[in-house]
Amino acid sequence: MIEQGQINKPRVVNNHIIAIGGGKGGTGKSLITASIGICLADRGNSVLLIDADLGTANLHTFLGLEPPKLGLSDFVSNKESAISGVITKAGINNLKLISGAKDMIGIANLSYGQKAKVLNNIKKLNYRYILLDLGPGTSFNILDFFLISHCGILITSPEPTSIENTYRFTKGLLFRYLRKIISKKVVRSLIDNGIRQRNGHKFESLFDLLETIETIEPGLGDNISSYLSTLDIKLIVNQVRTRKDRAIGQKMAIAAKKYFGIPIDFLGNISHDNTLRKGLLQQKPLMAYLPHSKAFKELTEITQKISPRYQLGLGFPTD
Amino acid sequence: MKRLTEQDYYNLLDISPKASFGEVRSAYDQAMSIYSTDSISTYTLFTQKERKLILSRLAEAYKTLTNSKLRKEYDHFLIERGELSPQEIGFSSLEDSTIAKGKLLDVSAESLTQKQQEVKDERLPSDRNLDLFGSQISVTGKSIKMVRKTKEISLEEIYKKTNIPQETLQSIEEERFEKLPALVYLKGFLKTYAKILQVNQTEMVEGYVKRYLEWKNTYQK
Repeated sequence: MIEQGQINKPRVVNNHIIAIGGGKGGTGKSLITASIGICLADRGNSVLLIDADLGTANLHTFLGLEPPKLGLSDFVSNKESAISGVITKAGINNLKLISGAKDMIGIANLSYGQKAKVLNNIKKLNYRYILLDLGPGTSFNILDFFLISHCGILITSPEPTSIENTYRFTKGLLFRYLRKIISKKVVRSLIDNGIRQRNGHKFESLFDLLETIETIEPGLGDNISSYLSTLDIKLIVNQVRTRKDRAIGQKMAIAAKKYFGIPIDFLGNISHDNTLRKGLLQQKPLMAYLPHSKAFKELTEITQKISPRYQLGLGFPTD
Repeated sequence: MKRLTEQDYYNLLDISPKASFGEVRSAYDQAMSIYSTDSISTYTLFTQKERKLILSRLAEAYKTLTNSKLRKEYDHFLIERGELSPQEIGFSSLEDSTIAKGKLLDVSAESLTQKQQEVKDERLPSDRNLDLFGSQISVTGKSIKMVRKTKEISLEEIYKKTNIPQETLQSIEEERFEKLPALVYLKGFLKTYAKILQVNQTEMVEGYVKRYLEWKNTYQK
């Protein structure tokens, strides 16, 4: 029998970085980032929101805050030497914010050095959850922010164009990932050429690429697919209205697993909700109207699903 | 990891080899709702060509797995290739005779109308022959292979010249009809192949297609 107090504390990753992205603007990424942040903080976790949607940042608006004086760009441009210097309060216990409000420079335009600096410093921050709001687009910088995270959440709406962009984002992500983990020059230039030709569409599918790679270096293709299967990508379908809309997410997950060979974890749907729009128009902070919305219950459930990753065998000794 | 179109029927439909006909059917319905042309959940994920292949493969899977005779043969085929162990199979064939004759086949017929139309439109041509150094031989996978061997052309060479996958060429020669692509593609491949072999294109295409359709009509109806 196990005595009280003798069970090893479950092991959790120290800080859990969650990137929130997806190909298209207007799918509700910022709203969802803020909401998940609020839900996680409400459960007693220390949470940091980073508005990396540089250029069109508006996380602070959802939190009902004036644009903070300091933001990510002050750290990027060395005005602030430490990243901790640009962290501001978010008006809720346990919740902090790095704003992107004042940043005129788009995330796509960060130089390699600037990007590396931001990425490395984010990784060292000591928060239970760090949520990165990435904004739309599939530029390399956005993909890289996504790839350094512990898990990435794609947000789509049930609109065809939004779904199209989600797949495009996923494709871009996979090619970017491969490009970075493969050291062999021949293969890298192969991927580069593929990317240059219409976003990786030279290879009609990932399989075409893997097959080509396999002929260049037997065994490498298989190795790559095992890497791909480790990617932790999740999906939320936002602004659903009909029953048909609600069925889309699960199907996308199945198709993506079959097609890309990566398990995409469908987290759930969030209903289209006028309460949220109204609240936003009245410029109230999100926490004032979020709990009264239809979407709140769905968001709470989704938050539970992305909560800590405990060691598989709870209490199993690790030494 | 395998291409969707290369996965075996069970994997393609995400079901166990023990799945009942009812399970095959609901898996098929689910798959159709994901992969059909008007499915929003795979919007732009596939090229038109890919989608066409996937759909024809799904239809084949459905037809095979809901017909106990075809399914037994298919299981056997998988076992022979070492992709399935005899213990893994074991659906009840009783269920088959009762269900397959009724509703299930209707459904498959409905979803396959287009495909069947294609087959119906195909009038079976008369026997065709290949000319090999002056003597006439009838067109079979075997005879095509013989012509190729006699002319000392390797599959690899043909692949390099035509981009037809070696596996497909092999399937043509070995008459593994279930592995062959949709008829339209098959015809194209055969025509190109005939060109390389420098035999009469019409003879080879029509002769082979006849054998293919015979197989199809026997096993897939």
